[in-house]
Amino acid sequence: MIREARALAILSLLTLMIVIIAGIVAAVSYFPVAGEFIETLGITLQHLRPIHTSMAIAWIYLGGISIIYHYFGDFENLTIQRNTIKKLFLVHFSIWIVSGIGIIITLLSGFFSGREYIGFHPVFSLLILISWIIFLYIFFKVTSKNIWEKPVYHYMWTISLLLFVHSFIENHLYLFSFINSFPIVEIKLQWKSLGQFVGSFNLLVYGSLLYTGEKISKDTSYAHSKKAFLLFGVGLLNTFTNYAHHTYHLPQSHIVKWISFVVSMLEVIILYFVISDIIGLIRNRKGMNKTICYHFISSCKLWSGLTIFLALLISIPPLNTIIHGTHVVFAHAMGAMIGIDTFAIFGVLSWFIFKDTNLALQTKKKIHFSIITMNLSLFFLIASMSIYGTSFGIYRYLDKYPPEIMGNLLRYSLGVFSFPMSLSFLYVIFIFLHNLVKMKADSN
Amino acid sequence: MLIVHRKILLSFLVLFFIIQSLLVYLDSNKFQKISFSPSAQLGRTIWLENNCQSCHQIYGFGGFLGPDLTNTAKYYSSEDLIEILETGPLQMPSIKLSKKEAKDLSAFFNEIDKTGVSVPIINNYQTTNHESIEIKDIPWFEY
Repeated sequence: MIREARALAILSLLTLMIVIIAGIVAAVSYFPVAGEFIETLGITLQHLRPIHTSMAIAWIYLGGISIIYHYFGDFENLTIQRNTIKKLFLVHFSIWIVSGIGIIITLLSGFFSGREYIGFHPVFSLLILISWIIFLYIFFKVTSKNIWEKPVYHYMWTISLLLFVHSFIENHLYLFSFINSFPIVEIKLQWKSLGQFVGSFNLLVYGSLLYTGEKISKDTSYAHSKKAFLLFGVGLLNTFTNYAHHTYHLPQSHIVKWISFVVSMLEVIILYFVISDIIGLIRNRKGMNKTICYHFISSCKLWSGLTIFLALLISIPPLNTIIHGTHVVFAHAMGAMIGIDTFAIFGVLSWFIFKDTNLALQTKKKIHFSIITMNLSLFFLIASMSIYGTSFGIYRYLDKYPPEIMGNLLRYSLGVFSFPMSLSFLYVIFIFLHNLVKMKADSN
Repeated sequence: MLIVHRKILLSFLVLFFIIQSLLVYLDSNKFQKISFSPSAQLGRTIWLENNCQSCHQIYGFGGFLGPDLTNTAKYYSSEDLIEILETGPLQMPSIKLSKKEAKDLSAFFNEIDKTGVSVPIINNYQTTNHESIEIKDIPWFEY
């Protein structure tokens, strides 16, 4: 189902474009003159932040689902008519477009839910949930035969899609007074649901990486191996629990915190091994080690290593006391969202778009500089935020304010490093979109 | 991996998920039983409708442009807090609240402050005016 996969890939890249534009405008608003100009337009960080975060999540999901539609193409003798799939796809795809446009318009108009990541009005949540159930119906109809014989990425995707429904509903329990009247209950549920929500899209990304690795290498044994399943099992345990390293300071059961502490540092280590294996698989195919896919997945591997370091720090209780609620957590989230998830989705989309090795090589020459710029800018951004966050945390612990110059330095480094990174992203998106539009639509 | 092993693995994971979720849902202590007054509940709605979380945090949840406001009521009297909310403090622009709205938001800050400590400081336990909170009640801060 290349046509559907292609439509979703285009939508995901357009969504990423919105993420970057919102990010650029937010970065510009830190500067005196430009900031005042943006404020005169009635746009503030209040409007930009929920657009940036909700669309960033949409980009990861849409990119991952695009690869799942590619996977649907591997199935024959379906229990559902292909025309029915196409019609249902049109329904959920249209809802996603309408919801996306509606979310941006309402957020710019000042209608907020006031929540993290799902900062839009709950009416859009309902639309997204309905469309998700339609997509789930297609997924299970297409793939329900012989589920116990499926490769590990199938399990990752299945759990990712179901976990989305659970965490999405759980996240909206705040609408009911039996939850929202009790502040600690509401906050602990918000952390739990968002932690598992992040786990859900991480599973989608890891599944897509494994699927792509299998397709490139044509080696199907790894995705059925004991090692792959055991790593998946430990990874899923992390998905269920590791969010709680953000809740050490909440007055709640010690057991939840201990479970989180014990397993919280494992997930990125697991990812590191998974990606190493994938790169090994890709390297086994002659000529493929110079493709864009290889470079993005290598970047992803590098960032998973760096993110391990920050995750370790955040999970150690005394250090957590200093750095939680500072820019270190922001740096960690940015490293994971851009360094791991975004580069991984870029990697799998580049495989999807540039299956022809010659085209991949030509394109790689065009975007080689952009990949280096993205990585370097991201490194400096994360380093600036980590240094500032740690210093801020120490001052805060000593009940003092940090010197004003520190805040100014951070502000300027955010502006200076986010621009080359954003421009590189926009260039890569343009190249990908250009090739996706040119791609001959196969109606299988 | 053999099919039977896959079934065992998935059963274990589903069971773990159920147990972990139940631990969170059923967990209850005196802080979790604290509920908002009607005025604080209205204040919470103002907090959400103005998307205050884009710049500020409650228990570390939110943006990093402004400070964590979980325990801000510790530093200001209710009257000062209402005045600050009406006019807009320091660099923050005024969000143009009415007297009643500022009062409700102030109630929200006062009541959220009583639920725990978000940002620990070196002399936290000497300076805090939370007489009901003892060190042992604040998990993982005991070191």
